[in-house]
Amino acid sequence: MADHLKTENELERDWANLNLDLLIIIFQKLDFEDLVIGVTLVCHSWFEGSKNPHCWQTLDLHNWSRIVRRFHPNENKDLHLELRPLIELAIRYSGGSIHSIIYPDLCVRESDFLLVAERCPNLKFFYLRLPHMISIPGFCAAISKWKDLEGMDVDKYALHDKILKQINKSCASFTHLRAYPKVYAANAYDIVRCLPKLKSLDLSQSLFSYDSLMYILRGCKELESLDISGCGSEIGDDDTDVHVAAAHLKIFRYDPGPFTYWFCPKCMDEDFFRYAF
Amino acid sequence: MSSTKIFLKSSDDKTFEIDETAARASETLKNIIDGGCLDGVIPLPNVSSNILPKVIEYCKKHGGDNGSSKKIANGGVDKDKEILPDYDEEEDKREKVRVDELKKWEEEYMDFDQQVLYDLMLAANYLHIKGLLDLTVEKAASMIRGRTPDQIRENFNINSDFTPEEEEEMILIEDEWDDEWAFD
Repeated sequence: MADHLKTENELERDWANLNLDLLIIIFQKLDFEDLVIGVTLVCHSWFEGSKNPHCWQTLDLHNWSRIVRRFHPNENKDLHLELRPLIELAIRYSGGSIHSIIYPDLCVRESDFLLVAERCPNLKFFYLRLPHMISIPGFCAAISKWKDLEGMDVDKYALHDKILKQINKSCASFTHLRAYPKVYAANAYDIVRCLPKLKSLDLSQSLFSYDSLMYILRGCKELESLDISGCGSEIGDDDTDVHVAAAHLKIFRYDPGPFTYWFCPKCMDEDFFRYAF
Repeated sequence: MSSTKIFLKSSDDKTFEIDETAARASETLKNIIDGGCLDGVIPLPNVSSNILPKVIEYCKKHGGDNGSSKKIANGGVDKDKEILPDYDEEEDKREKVRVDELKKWEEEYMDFDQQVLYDLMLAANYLHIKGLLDLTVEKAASMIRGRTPDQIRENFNINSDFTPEEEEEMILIEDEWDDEWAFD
């Protein structure tokens, strides 16, 4: 009897055939590389489970050096990995249902950007810090595909007038913007003009004038969160004009410094998601 | 303060006692209690007597403190703007001690092997105890992160059911990463 029970118990702990819902909840906690070169190679049922689109909604490639090392575990020489096959693989697994993509801090090719635009029409968020190989028309073409885009975290290159206008035209739900680095006053005017419905705006570590701040506060009436910390602004608690104009904000960060590099999406706190999504 | 006792019967017919406030950490039990269908003992045909005490231990620790755990989750938000008229430094310190103590408790509580993890995860899922499900899922994920397929199989006692041909194919795929995906 005892033996029989024991066998039964061990059968119950068959991780290979763990209920699919739970398996997917676990897989959702994992990074892209752990899914691709870990989970999918464990056994048939995990491989099948990992095909669920829910496991692939966030494609986070920010920690690129870690990903490269994972793909070449036994080599020490200078390693390189092509971005495109990885994106293709993730798109294939996700069935195109990727919601957010965090590009590595590499120069991203226009084709790698357009590929995601073509194949992942439901994208809600992207992070892209080195977009300089993407033409402005290319950028606009991608934006025009993403009707559900809610936010982006970009180099200020992407604050080009034409791109912002395209967002205004194509992305009705666009409410979250973070731009970096050194966004100037002129960018601030374009932002207000093209994206007056922003809810969250993060321009920390920028060069910012008092006038452009007031322009944003008065222009973006639906703004809930504004971060201009590290901009060297000298706003005091007694600066009545600013605080009256900022009365509708739930979060307002204006601490002038120090200048710090911002975040790594994996070791950050939850703040990022509050801002980014 | 005394609380109503609830009795839970495991799949192997053993009965355990738990305070009602603690039992409310489980959505499933909460619904049964609130639904008024409580008829002495609540049978739990999917939870064995091996794991039920462990579940009860979690509920005892977390039952009835939903309010304050929310406070922890939101701690630090709106720091720059928030005005706290009755800000109490002592209260803040006590809260910090409480959070640290809870973290330490969780660490010790979660120290077990994959078999217990499996049972506990299923029980948390069945009883809808969100906090416990999160903890167990996170532990399982941490046993996968950064590991090779072999190491993962070892951690979870899984046998590879890939045929030698499939294994071969996978090695080929890995070679492709070297040959095609990489460039000098």
